[in-house]
Amino acid sequence: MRDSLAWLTATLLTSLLTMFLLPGSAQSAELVGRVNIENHGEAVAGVENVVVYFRADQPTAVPPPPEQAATMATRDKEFNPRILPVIVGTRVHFPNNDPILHNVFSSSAGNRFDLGLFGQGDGGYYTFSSPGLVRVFCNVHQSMIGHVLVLDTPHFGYADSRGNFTLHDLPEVAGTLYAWHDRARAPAQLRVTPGAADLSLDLNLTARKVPNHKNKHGKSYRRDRRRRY
Amino acid sequence: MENPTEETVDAGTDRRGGSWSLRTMIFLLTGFMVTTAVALAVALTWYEGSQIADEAVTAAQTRAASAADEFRSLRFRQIELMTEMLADDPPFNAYVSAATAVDLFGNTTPVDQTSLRDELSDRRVNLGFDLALALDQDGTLLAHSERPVEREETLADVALVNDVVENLIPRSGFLQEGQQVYQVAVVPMEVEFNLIGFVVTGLLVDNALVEEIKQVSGNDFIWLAGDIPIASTLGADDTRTVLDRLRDENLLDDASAQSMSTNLTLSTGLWNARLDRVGGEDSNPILGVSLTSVDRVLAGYRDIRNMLIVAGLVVIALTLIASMLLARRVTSPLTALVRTTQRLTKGHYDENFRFSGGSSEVVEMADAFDSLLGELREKRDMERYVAELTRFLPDPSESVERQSGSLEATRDERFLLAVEFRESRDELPDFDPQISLRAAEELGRKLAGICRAFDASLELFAGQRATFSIPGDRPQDTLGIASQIVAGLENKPSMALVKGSVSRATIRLEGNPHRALFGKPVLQCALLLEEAPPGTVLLAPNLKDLLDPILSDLKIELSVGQGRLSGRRYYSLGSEALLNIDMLTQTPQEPTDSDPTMHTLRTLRTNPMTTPTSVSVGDLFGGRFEVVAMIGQGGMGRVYKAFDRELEDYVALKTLLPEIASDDKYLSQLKEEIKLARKITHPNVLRTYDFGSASGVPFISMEFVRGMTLRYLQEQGTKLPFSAALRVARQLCSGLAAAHEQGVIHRDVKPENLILEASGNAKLMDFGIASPMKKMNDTDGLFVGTPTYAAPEQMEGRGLDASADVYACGVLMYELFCGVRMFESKNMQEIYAAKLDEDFTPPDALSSAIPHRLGSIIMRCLRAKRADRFGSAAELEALLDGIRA
Repeated sequence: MRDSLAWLTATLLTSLLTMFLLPGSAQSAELVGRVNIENHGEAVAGVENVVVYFRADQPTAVPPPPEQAATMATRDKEFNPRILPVIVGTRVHFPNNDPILHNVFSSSAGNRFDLGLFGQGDGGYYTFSSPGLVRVFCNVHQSMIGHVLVLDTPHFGYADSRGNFTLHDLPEVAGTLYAWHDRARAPAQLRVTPGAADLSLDLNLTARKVPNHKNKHGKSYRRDRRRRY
Repeated sequence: MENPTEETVDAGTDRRGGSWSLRTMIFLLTGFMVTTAVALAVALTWYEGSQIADEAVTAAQTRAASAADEFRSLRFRQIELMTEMLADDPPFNAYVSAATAVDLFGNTTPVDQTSLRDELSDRRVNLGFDLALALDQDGTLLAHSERPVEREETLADVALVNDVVENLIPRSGFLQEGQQVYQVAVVPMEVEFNLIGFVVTGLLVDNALVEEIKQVSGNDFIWLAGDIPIASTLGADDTRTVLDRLRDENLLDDASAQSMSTNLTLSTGLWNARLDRVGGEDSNPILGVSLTSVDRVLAGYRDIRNMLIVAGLVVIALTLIASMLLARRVTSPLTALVRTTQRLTKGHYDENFRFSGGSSEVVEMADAFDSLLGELREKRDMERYVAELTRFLPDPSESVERQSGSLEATRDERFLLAVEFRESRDELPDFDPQISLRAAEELGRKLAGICRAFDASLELFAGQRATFSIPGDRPQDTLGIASQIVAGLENKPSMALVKGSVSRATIRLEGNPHRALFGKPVLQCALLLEEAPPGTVLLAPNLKDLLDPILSDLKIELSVGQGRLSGRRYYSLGSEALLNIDMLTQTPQEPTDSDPTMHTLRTLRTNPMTTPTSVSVGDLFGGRFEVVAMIGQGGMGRVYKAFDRELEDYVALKTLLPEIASDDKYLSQLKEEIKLARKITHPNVLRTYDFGSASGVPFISMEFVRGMTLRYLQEQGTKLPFSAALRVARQLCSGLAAAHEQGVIHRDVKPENLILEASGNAKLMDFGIASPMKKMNDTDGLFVGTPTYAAPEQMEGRGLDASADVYACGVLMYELFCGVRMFESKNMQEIYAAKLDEDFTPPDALSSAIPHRLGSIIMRCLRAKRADRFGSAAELEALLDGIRA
């Protein structure tokens, strides 16, 4: 515990030092901070796939999407990555790495699609043209869900497993920093002004977990969703 | 009934003496028992049936409850599966996720109810639920399959839903929507275990549901939400009636806590209602009323009971008839028995008592009774026969007179010898009349003995006086009697002897016979006796010429005297002269028939008082037997009636002839056999008491019986009736069988040895004392028995066994039944040859009264070879038992 604190203190100091040392410019600012992940008031460590993104108060032009498609593969009956932040207009590739049939569809407003059933191989592509949260499902496997965060800002990235993040090349404008995870019912938000330091966001993973309980006959009420093929 | 005035005993239906007749009692008892048994059976069956019916009602209710419960559970499971399917449907997940999503910047988006409801409608088509709800993570209603959703409408206040929202565990239960109640399941929706929301689907609780349960359980059902009916298999009116009744009994409130049961009478009969809480919340429980028709359940038992009652009544009726018949059948032999017995008491023995039908016991009883009747008939016939013959028997008191000729109203020339004993003990101071009586009896017996020895008549005996009469042509016997009296008696009497024409008669005074003498000699004798001194006999003057020749031979002279009272002349013989006469008569001289003196001597030698090998009447034989009378004489010796002072009873005393008594070997053998014969105790055997010897005379003492021998009866010329003959034959065999059992062979079965008592009972006598006879194949030897009746081997002098007696029985029976004499007028050789030839006419050919079976039995007894006969008298008796008159 003491080591952790020492490590956190060192990291934070380093972050702050970095911010102040870096020259200030419209596209050169960085946001360094930490997402404090907690669940009902208790810190939770090791949470992957926490997406941090910054949105300026004044909308700025969104850069063109990368030519190369982003990838969200289906592997072991899971979407991988489970959470994929992309710039609006990004083409996302859904290859099937499993030897079984998969389907990819979404009912999210603005990004409704259904790639149909496909076997192992290339899968399909979809270009997310509308910003917003897109939940991607497999019509075959109820337990599969993927989250494509179609952002209208290019300033985003993943926090590491400890919650630390760094966003580069940000304009020095006021805006809002968001931290998102699928288990949080709403993203954590933090107003950020130019020069702001010591960024810290509290992300509550309030989404409840449904237990794999037994039914009255002593059998699993539902099948083991993590059962591999 | 012959005599209508006779009292009758009817074992029928009358009541006598305050008690029911046997027939009525059997009838009533049987009827009562059967009726009671049937009534008990009906009652027990009805009771058990009611119990079983109650249990059947309870069981039907339990079954129905189980069926309803199972049906409900299955339906819940169906709903749960249905709900799970919906909750696991990826597109539906996607819809709900989208509906509940917060966008990337924290903004909530309005729920797309239209799409959700549309989705639910689609699913309803596929899954078949009646109701579907989509809820968000807080239980707020997102979509309703049946209606639009109000804003902020939540189901979190419904306990069932709230529980699932709180615990995230699927549940099922009842959900009321307005007036309708649904069976629902609430299932959390999740993707990767992340809660999305909740889905609720349900099936409506309606009449169709309870009708389905009714199809399975057979019961009617009403389901209630609180006290509002939500489903019923009954019509509206009946449903209302049932609920009213349940409300009246306050069962609706109580049933929410525990199961209740009650019986209700509806228009359709008696019903049993069971109330169970099937779900719902305490505030609004869902109750199930299960109704089963008690009448329908009981119908089977009622049918059984009714059939049992009908069958029971039929059984009772049949049993009463059967018991009546049975009572008649059982009592009819008894009735006949009673009637026959009543007739028997009146002396009617001529009926037969036979039953061919009936149980074996009844037949046995009838046979036994018939045998008894036969016995009685035979006994009666025997008694009649014996009684008839007895009328012609000589009176014992007359026997002596009969032997010496009848004196009744007869007149002939006779000697009269009057005797008077003048010494009397009556004058002594210690006089005891019993002593005088005893002395008089003894004196009388002695005088009678002397009289009998000389074949004279003791006309009068009056204690101290007696008068003898002797035929007029036997003066020597007259002197013999006088000398015997003087010699044999201590007390010397005065005597008078006269001769003349004397009338003798038996006159009856007041029914009692008295001997009477008439004539001048009687008075003359009385007068002469008055003159006679003790120890002297006075003779009338006219006797001198008659007696002189005899007395002169004895060198005795008559004295002449004159009467003290009458002054008349008389002759006398003093005691000395009389003793001389007695002594001289004992001189052993061989007499010749031509010599009158020798005749006198011969006569006098027979005097029992002086002959050591004889017994005379009046003797005290052997110091024990008072000889009363001689009752017979046979080949063995004489038979006397005697009073045994030791036994204090009359016995028959048989003395043996001197020639037999002198055969020591025979005596020894006889003694051994009598030892065995003494052991025989049987009604048809004359008891043998003792064998001994007194004064050199061997004797056998036996039971004294007054009766007639079979020989005597045969000689009367009247044939025994068949039944009486059968009885005699059976009794003969019975007695013989008893003897054979003791190892005694009679050896001399013949009519002379079979004595019939006045009662008709036959007794076989003379066991082991058969006369020795000459053997047939040994001229020097003797055989024991009687030729006519002896078996061939017996005549040959060979060893004997019981079959020899069987042969003798055969001859005896042949004669008895056929009324003929066998081997008559034949000598021994001829008899022996005839017996070996076996050429006898079968008895049944001689008399139609003799059954063939009996004839065969007799013929078999007469077989020459002993092995061909019956082995024992017992076997013969058993065969005769099977023959009835």
